[in-house]
Amino acid sequence: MENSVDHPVSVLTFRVGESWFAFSTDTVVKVISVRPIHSIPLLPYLFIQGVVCVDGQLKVCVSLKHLLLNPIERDVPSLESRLLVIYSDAVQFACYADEIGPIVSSSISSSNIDSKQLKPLFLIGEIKHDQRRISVLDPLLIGSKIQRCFQ
Amino acid sequence: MFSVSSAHNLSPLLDETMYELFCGELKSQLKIVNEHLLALENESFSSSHVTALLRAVHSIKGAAKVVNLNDLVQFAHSMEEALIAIQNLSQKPSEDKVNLLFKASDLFQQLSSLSRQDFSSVLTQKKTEIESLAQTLRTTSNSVVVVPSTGSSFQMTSKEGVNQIEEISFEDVEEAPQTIKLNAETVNNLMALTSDLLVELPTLDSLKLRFQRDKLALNKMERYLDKLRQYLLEKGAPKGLQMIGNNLNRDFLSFTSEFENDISHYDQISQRFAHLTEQLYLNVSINRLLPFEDIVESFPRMIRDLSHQLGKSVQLDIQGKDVLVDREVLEKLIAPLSQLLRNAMDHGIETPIERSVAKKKQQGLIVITAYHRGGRLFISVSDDGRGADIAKIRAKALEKGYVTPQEGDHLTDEEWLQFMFRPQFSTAGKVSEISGRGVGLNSVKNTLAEFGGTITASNNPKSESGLLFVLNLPISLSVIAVLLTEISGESYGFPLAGIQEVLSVPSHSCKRKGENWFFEDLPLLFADAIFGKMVPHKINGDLSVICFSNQEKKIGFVVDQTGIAKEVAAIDMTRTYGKIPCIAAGAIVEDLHPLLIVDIESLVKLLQDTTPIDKKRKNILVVDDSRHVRYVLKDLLDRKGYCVKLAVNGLDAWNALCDHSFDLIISDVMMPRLDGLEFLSLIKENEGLKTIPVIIISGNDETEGESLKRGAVHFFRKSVLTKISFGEFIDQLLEGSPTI
Repeated sequence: MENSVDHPVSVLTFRVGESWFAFSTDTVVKVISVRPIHSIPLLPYLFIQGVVCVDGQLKVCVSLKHLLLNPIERDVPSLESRLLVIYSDAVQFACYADEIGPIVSSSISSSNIDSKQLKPLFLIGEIKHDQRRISVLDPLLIGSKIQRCFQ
Repeated sequence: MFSVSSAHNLSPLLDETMYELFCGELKSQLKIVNEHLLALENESFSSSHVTALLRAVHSIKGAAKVVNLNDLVQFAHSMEEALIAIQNLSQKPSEDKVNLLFKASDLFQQLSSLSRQDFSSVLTQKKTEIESLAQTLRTTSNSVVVVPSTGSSFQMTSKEGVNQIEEISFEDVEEAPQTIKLNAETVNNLMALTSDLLVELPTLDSLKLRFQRDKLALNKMERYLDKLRQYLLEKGAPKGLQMIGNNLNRDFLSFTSEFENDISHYDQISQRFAHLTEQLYLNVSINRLLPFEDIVESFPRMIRDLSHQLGKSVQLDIQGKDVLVDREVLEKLIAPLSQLLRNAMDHGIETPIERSVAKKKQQGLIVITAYHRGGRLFISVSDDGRGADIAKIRAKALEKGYVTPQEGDHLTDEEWLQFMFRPQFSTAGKVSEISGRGVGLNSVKNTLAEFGGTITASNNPKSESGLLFVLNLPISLSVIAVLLTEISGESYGFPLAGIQEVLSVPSHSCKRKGENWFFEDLPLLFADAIFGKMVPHKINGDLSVICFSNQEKKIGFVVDQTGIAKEVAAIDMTRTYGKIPCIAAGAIVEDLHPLLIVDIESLVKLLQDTTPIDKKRKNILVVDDSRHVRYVLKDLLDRKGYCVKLAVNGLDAWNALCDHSFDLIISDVMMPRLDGLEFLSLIKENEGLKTIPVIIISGNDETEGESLKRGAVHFFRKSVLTKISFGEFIDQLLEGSPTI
C-alpha cells in the first residue's frame, strides 16, 4: 500500500460518538446545521441514512457511526450535530458530526490492511492532535461505497 | 479525373470548434438535401426543388472548402454537376439518378457524425467509394457545366453547339434569426433553477399569511396598549407614567401603520416577482422546447428506404410538426417512434399485390400526429395495413399462460391487443432484419415508461383495417404533477399520470386471505411493509389507497395518508448516484423537506418480480482508477446480463469484498492507495477470497508475468476489452451463463 503522506495536510476534525475523525479541507464543501433526512426505501444499508437538502439539491446522507463504529442502536443526530458536506470524485455526500473540532495541519501516518481479516478500511491514515488520535477519512472510498449501493 | 488527394487529412490547426461548425453545417444542409430529393422523387418535376438542392450542395462545398477538405469539395462539385444536368433536362430524374444522389448524401451524412479523431481515417477508408460515386455522378451529367465557386449558381445549356449561360438567382432568403450555441447542460441547469423558483412561489403566499397573522396580533396589542393608556389616565397615574403610556401608544400606532404599508408593499413586490418568475419559466421552457418536427424530419427518408427494401409503396403523413416538446422528451422518442414505424412497414402495410386483392389503394398510408391535451403530449401512429391477427394474439397469450381461456372469453379485441407489449411476444411468422423478434413493442413500452410515458394499441378507427398506437407522454420532465402522500412519516409523491384512482377504503370492508389483504377484488399492498418499515398485523380506520394497474390487474397501494396534488420541480439523482430502486426523482417541498417521487412502473415490476433466487445474476467486480474504463466494462458486462459493481482502486475493491460476494474480479494494475498486484496478493492470502478468479488488465504487457505468478487466471491488455473475444472469455470463465 502507498506510504504515509509526509507533507502536512490541512484537515477539518470532528467527533462522531467518542471517536475523532477528519477530512482533508480540500474535500469539505460546507458545514451546515441539522436538517430533515428522508430515508431511501428498499436500500438495505444501515449506514445510508437517506437524502438531505443542500443548496436546493438532494445529497445522500451517511452515518459515519454505522460505517465506522458499528453501533447497535440507530444513529439519530442531535440538535447540536452539524452536517458536513463532502466532495469526492464527482460524488457529494453528507454526514453528521456530533461536534466540529479545529482545522489542523499535520502529516498523516498510513493504515494497513490485515489480509487475514475481511474488514473494510476507509482511512487515509491517522494524525495526533491535542493528545487525541484522529483518523483521517478517505472520501473517495466512502463516495465509491455509496455509489456501489445503488449499482 | 476525380481522385481523392493525399492531402485529405484535417489540418492539425483545425480546432474542435471549427470541426463542429463544419459538421453542423453539413447536417443542416443534408436535411434540406434529403427533403428535396424525396420531393423530387415523389412529386412532379419542379425546378424549385433542384434549385434548393443546388443551394444546399453548394453550401456543403463551401463548408468543405473552409476546412480544406479538397476531396469533399470535388465530391460536392460532382453532385452539383449532376443536379445541373437534371435542371437542364427539366424533367423528373430517373430512379437511378435519385438513388445516386441519395447515396452521395448518405456518405456525407456518415462523415458528419464522426469525431474529429476518426474523420481522417474513415475518409481514407471511404476513398474508393467516394471516387467511384463521384465518377458515376459525372457520367450521369450529360452537359458540360460550369459551376462557379461562389455566389449565384449558373447553368450552361448546350443548344446547337452554342453555349448559353443562364444565371439562376437565388430566391430572397429570409434573414434567419440570430442564434447562439449553448451547452445543453447550461440550459438544463437554468431550467432546474427556474423550476425551483416556480415551485417556491407559493411560499411567498404562506409568508404573506404569516404577516397577516402578525398584523392581527399587533392590532390586538394596540388595543391593549390603548386600554393601558386609558387606565393610567383614569386612575390618575403619575404624569411621567402617563406620558410613557401615551408615547408607547403613539409609537405603536405609528409602527402598526408602517407595518401595514410594508405588507402592502410586500404584496406588490411578490405579485411582480410571481409574474416575472412565470415569464422567466415560460421563456426558459421555450428554450428547452423544440418542435416535434425536429425528430420526424428523418422519418420520410426512413420510410422511403424501407419501401424500397420491402417492395412496398407507402405514404407518410406527419401532422402537428409545430407542436412543442421538451428536448429531453424529444430525444427519448426517436427510438420508440422508429420502432413503431418499422413495425408498421414490416408487419402492417401489405405488398401492392396484397393490397390490390384486398381492394385497397396501392399505396399504404402511415400517419403520425402530435398534439397536446390535458397538459400531456399525445403522439399517435396509425397505418391502414392488415391490422393485428387477434386469433394469433389470443393463441400466443394462452400458450404463454398470460391468461386462462375463461378469462380470455371476457376480453375485448382492444384488450387482446395490449398483449403485444409483453416481453418476447411476437406472432410474426418469421424474424426479419427489421422486426419480428418480439422485443420491439416491449422495448417501446419500457422506454416510454422510463420517463413517465404510456402506450396503447387499438384498431385504426379511420381505416377498415390497420392499427393505431397512442403514446401518452409528459410535455416536460423537469416539473412533475404529483399526489403528495405520507408513508411512515415521510413524504412521497406519486406522479398523477400513473395513478388510476385514489380510494378511501373502510378497514372493516377489507378481507384477509392468508397473508394478503383485499378490498373486494383489489389486492392491497401496504407501503409501510414494502418500503421496509413494518408489517401491519391489523388495520383500522379508513385506508388511503392509491390504485395503479400493471398489465395483469389493478393494485391498491395503501399509504398513511394522501394530501394535495401539486407540481414539483424534479431533481435527478441518477447522474450522481445511479438508479434508486422504485424512485424516479427527488424534490424539495416546504421547509427544506426532501420528497421522493415514486417510480410507479418500477414499483409495480418489483411487486410482480417472480425471479427465483436461483436465477439471480452473477456478480463481477471491476476495479480501475479510470472512470472511462470502469464504465466501458460495466456497460459491456451489464449488456451480457451480469451484475457489476465498481471500485476505484485496490483498497476500494477490498472494501467491496467486505460487503458483497463476487464470482469474478477484473482489476487494473496501476492504481493509487493499493495497486492491482498487491490487491491480488491480499485476495490470495485470504481463506475466504482466494478461490475468486481474478483477471488482470493493463495498458502494457510488463506486468503479465507477475500477475499470473500471483494467481491471476488471465491477463488482458486494455486494448482488447471492447472486443467480442473478451466478452466471450468472461462467459466461458463463468460457464457461459450470466445467471447462477
